[in-house]
Amino acid sequence: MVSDDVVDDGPREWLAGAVAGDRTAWDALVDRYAGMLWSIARAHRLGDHDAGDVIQTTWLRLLDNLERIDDPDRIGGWLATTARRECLHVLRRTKREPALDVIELLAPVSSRDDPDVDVGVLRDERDSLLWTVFDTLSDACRRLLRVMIADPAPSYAEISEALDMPIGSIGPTRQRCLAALRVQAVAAGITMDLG
Amino acid sequence: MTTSEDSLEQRLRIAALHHDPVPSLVTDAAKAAFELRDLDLQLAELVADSWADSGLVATRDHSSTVRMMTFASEGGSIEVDIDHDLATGTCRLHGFVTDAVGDLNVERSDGSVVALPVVEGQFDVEGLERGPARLSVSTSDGRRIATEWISF
Repeated sequence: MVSDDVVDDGPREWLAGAVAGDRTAWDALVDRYAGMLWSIARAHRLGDHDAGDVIQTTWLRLLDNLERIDDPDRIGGWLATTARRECLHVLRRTKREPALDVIELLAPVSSRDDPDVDVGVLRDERDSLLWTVFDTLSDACRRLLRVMIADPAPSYAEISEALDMPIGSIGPTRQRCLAALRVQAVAAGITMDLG
Repeated sequence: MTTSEDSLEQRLRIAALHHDPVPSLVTDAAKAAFELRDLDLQLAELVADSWADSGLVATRDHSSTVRMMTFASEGGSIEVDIDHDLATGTCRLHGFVTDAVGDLNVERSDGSVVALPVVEGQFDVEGLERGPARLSVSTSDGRRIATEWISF
């Protein structure tokens, strides 16, 4: 459990705290970037085990380099770059290209016509279907959006490091990919008016 | 201003949180890793890596594949070939160390250590499980040097 004081700080303070040996500051760093690192591993189509290894290796590398991070404000970018390189090494080790692994998808539940189903259930059903449609996007779109939807949302600089992609191309590509997703979602009968 | 794009992205984010959340085991392991911090250990610099700029390989054959890495520090050096066996999911390590005293240790992220005998500067082991690890040795001048963490 991270204390309230630590939660109020940011990556720069957490990094300084970790250098000084503060375990709660380290925990705060992990909590802040866990979602981004998981998204990067998934964007490279790694399964649970390989994704876990990549992320653990990334954190251990940071631990070794805590005192050597030149710009603490770019810690997210440093983690993203390290994770991307490790993903590529795992793909090489397993001789895969980044599109072969399977992410488990939940089959959508067909209850849209039931008048007694409440909005919450419909929303869950829609999100399940949206997640299924998301996996049918082109690999380039799926990779970008998978990193972009990390929670909390990474910065464009971090996305750039995660995917080795120019920052200037992220916005236009995002726009095209979300438009493609919307077309696919509408074709699948997903309604977007449930909030 | 929230656009329809932002709204769709947020719905997708919520779907991801529901269908592909970060496993708690992954987060717990990352937090526990802090206990592995060792300020007395001297990090040897990676000076050569046969996979450094390789990215992905085009081949899809299923034979083992080898990564060659060299680490150096003032106290000594560690050269290691990591031979991945896709059939078993394990790897073989063999290589050389200079100026080492005693065994070469394979340290895992769960805190376990496998000690490998060094004979005339050489070490060799088969059947190592995959996962993060680093190699460390003691040198004749009393230092302990280690490689960076590698995902075997």
